[in-house]
Amino acid sequence: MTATVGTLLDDVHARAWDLCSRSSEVEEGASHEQLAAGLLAAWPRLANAALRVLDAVHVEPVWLDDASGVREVLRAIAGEKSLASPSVAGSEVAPAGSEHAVLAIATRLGVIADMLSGERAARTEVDRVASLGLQANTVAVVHAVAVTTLAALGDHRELETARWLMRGVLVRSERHAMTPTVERAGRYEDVAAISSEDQSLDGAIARWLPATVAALGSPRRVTQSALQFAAGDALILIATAGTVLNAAAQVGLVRDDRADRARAALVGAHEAWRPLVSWPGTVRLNGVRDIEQFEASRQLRQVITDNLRENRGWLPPETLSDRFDLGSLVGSLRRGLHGVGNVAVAHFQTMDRLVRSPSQLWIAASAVTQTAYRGYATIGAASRKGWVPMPPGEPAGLDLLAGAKLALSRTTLAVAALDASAAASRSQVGAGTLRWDGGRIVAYRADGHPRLFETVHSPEPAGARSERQTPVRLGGPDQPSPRR
Amino acid sequence: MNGSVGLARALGHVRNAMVAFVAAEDPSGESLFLAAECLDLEGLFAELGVEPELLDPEPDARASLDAASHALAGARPLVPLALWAGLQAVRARAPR
Repeated sequence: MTATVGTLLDDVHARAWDLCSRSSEVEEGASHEQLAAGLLAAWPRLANAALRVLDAVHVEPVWLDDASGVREVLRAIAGEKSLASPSVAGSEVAPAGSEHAVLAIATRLGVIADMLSGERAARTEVDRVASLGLQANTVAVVHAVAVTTLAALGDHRELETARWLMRGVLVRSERHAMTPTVERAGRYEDVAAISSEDQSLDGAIARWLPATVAALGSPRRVTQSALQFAAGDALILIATAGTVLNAAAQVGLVRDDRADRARAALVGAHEAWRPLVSWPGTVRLNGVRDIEQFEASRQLRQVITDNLRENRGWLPPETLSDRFDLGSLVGSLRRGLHGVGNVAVAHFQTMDRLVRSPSQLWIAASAVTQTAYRGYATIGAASRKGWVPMPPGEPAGLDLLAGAKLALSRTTLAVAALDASAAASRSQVGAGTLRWDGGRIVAYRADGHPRLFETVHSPEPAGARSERQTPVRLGGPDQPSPRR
Repeated sequence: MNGSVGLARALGHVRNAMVAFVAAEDPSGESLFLAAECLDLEGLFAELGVEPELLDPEPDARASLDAASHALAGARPLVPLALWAGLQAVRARAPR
């Protein structure tokens, strides 16, 4: 199974949930002081890891304010040396359980940050919503651990600094922790750690993308067939994405309106790539085929055929749903379409260079349309059904370039539309107490409901003495395991 | 028929078949995969240094593949077995 940011978040939330549940029953042989010491010792690493996730996706500066308060307090905790060795009687031997639980969460958040480090900066509305969702999912975990830690700290005088810090975390993180799960889903959850040795669709795409971009990007290696292969593979990946999207929409994994928009965008991209597979018969760019690209293309087609097709057709939605985790599969195809986007850029740049630079492409001599270039040599070649270097400004070349440009713009739209379909399909929120929602921790403020975590309500700034604490009440999750 | 002319003509027919496959409205997606197979074949022709002959398209992709097969059969001494086998494999998958 391919590890994605989504699956890691699932795991992190499940661990945070367990930590909260266990902390209400002090571990055998451990005191409250030891529990508190263990939790506090792990906080600097947790704060560091959470900060790294929050900073992993670069966003527009105006958006930074949203979590600036959280960042500020996390930075303070990350630099607070005293947390690692609290001087409270009875805490000398920190219990391994609570500290290790928080460290495990921190480690996974660190992995998430590493996986996101290669992401391009968030620019679009889809990116913005997804980054806010990622923030909420990260901060919700920090909030849960802070609630648990504060409950364990008790009223020891020696731990006053720690209590102030934890209250600061609570106040600043609560709003994010209360974001409903349905508003947190986004494309960053599809970011995956993929090995090029992987035999899955993700692995095939991971091998295909660099091989194709390299073949197109090299002035020496690029050929007509390299460009055609790239276009053909793009067509197949787009068709595959459409098929999987249909299946996902059918089982309710993708909202109908978003699925419709994504479907229309995919059809548009598909139509744009078609002419680029065919090429006009009168234009050529000879050369030896790139074996790496050829092999990667063949493997990609083979993996798709072996897994998603049967009897020369796509598997029906029901079969896809039975055989695969459709959520993960849609995620794979979203990543695949991002790959197609990269190929579209490389394809357009190459075509631009080929068409605008002299003597790169060849044209059938009989197909030269510009009178100025129908000289003696061209007419002679035409009579022998020969080829000549394409003169600048030939309509056949300009058409190819326009086609590449259209494919790039339509692919960009399709990538954005498919990303937008990553938002959660429907609210998992029930009518009663809302605590474990879609495999993620959500804090709720609504009065009259039991609260999952200790929350701090204060009209005054963080840390004011008028803070009112409500008791911690912990319950089991509504579902035994994360949603995936 | 001159062998190299036969190869050029066969490549021209394979190209026409590929164009027809790409243009086909095929919800099953099979024609996309067949078009890719044709591109694989074109790659083999390219390695032999064959230049395509521009030919009028046949009525459909299958007919173009049949014509390519006929042209290759005429140039048999020059045709590598891999090329022949690849073409026949695509023909077997192409709908009539």
